[in-house]
Amino acid sequence: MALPPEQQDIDRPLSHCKPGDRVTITRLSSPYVASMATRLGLVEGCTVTCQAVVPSGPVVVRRGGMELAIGRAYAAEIMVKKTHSAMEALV
Amino acid sequence: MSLTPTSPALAASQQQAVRGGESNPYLCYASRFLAGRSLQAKEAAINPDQVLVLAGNPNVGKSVVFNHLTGSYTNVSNFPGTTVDIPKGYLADNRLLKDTPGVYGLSRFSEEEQVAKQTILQADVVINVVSAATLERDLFLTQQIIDFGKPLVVVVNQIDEAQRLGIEIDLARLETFLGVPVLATIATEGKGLDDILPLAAVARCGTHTPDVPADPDALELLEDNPAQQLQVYGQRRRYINGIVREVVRHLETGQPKGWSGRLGQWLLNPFVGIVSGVACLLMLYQVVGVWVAGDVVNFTEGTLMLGGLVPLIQSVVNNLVPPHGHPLLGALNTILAGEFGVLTMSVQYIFGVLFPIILGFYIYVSLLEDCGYLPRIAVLCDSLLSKIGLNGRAVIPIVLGFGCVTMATVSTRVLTSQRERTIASTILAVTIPCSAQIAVIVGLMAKIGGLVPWLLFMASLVVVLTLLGTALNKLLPGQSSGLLLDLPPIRMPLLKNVLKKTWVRTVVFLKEAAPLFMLGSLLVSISQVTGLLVWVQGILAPITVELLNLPAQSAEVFIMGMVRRDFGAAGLYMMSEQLTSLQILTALVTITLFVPCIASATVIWKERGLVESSIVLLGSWVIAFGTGTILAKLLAAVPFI
Repeated sequence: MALPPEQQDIDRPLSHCKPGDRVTITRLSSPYVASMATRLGLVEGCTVTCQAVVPSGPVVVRRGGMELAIGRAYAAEIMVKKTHSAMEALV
Repeated sequence: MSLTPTSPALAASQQQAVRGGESNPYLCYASRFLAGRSLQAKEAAINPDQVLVLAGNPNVGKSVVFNHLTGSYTNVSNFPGTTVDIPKGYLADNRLLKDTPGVYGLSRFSEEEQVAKQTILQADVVINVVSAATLERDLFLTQQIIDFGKPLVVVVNQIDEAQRLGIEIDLARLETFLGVPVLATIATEGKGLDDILPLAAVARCGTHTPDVPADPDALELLEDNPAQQLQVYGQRRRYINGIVREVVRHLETGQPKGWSGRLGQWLLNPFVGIVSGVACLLMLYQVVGVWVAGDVVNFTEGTLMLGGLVPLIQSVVNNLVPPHGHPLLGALNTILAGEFGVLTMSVQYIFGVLFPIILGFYIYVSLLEDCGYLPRIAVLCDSLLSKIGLNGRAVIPIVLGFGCVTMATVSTRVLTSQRERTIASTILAVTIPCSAQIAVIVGLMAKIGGLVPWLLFMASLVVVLTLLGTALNKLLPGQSSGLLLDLPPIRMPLLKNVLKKTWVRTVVFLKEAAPLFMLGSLLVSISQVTGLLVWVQGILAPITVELLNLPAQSAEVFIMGMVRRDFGAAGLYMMSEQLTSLQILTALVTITLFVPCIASATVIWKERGLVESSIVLLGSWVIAFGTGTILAKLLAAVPFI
């Protein structure tokens, strides 16, 4: 039996996340977003927690002590997948 | 790992920590770069011409460190060729310390970043403040400064916040990895701050990122090339994350605890955001609009000015320059102490009306800023602002605009693209009333009374703002950038910080406003005694009388408005006795949308160029009189008030 799409291990944009999701970044699409995100510490393979999603607005993610609001257009260019184990979350 | 401190400053701070019953292990940590050296030896080696520069990410406590190191001897000056503020101050030993805007790296993503980059690269010694709570993010800038070959020390601040989040840092190993002296502080409590300067005397060039050019010029060339920038950034980021994995231990990777974390989370809920936003506005109305503009101004304007100082000035002027005698002397008397007298009206408005209201407004804004509320509002406003070609970040210039449009126009430099800056500065120039103007508006609104005129006034401005922003977003070529904003934790504001900020802003405002206000009253008084005023009234009469339903002499209000917006509103205040509530409201909306004051017009010209500023100024005439006319005709047909 196939799992519903949100439970599968497929990449999806950060803008599709729900508050409380722990996700791992898999790809940063545009070079501009990638440069900005790299400075802030969001790189491929790092794990963030989705803190809040403003309806048709920004996604707020947390990593350590950093809380970052990412506008919807940028969040759509950051591909993520759900993090499952606690070990993965520590990376 | 633990080292014996030999410097008196460090030893003293340790003893203090022990005496205070502190169990914070970080504050007993002494840098190995200081160990074994005596303070005297280092003082002898200090070069008095050395320039120190503070650098760091936004919201890491840089300004508290700056204030501590420089005391009260600070001044703010513009970076050459720009209007980005670079606060400067002198250390106890007379060396110069410069502050820089908070940035995440030395790139060119905004004008502030360019200024920060240039200032940091010109420094002799860099004091890099990082937050222990966000070390991973902050070390990118640190490593970039190291890669550019600048001697630096790293001040790991906000140790207390990191502890609350369950984050532990091995500072001695961090020091080894970076190759520069590292110090732990809690700036808000003043802990560790006295050790910064002794440590800065042993600043080092650190360990470069592997495989990144060691030559600063070659590195800059590489980083400025869009194709190669990401590669360099990626290398640096991987190197930094490797260090962070070694030195940072997340005891709990979970959520922030306590009231601060819950409140911060809660304020991001749109419903809570709207309710809290409205509550903030109502509180502003109650505190500044009703209490300060009413009771306090009654006392400062009514009792202090009109009941004391102004009659005194008038009698002195009358004695020196008799009003009835030679016609020239009579004219001089009118200019000095008449209806718009340089010495009487200016003093009455600047000190009696504007000063208390602006003080109240700035305390309020500084409190909102310091507690971390504004960035959360920026997040909630992002989707609305994106419809007019801005992003959430523009909330800051707009809110500042309610203080001083001139200052806010300058602050549009935090916006990323030229397109956004054009939209933001136009909206500021046309639709946002500054606090000086609000001061007089609030006073006049109190004369009409009730909340309905306020709602009508704000609705008019919101409609114009929306239409103007939407039009600009459609017409201007290109695309605006999106939001990427760091949210500082919700904290209790530091009273000392809030008061200092408020005081600096108020003084800057008075220094800028007072001479222009006097110049304005001089010009209007001169046109009054020369008959110029009546002539201009005649020319503008078709607009003021026919379209806006205002008396002919209201034209002088608009002339005064060109000098300073609040000055125009002040002129309206003078003649408010002869106006109906409807006329006051119409005139207020028109004067608000009318040309920005001379100071902002100059800044817009400087920032946006001649063509753009001319379009903005001419456009504001059309928009102001157009909106005023619609409102006058509409309210005459449907009497709300």
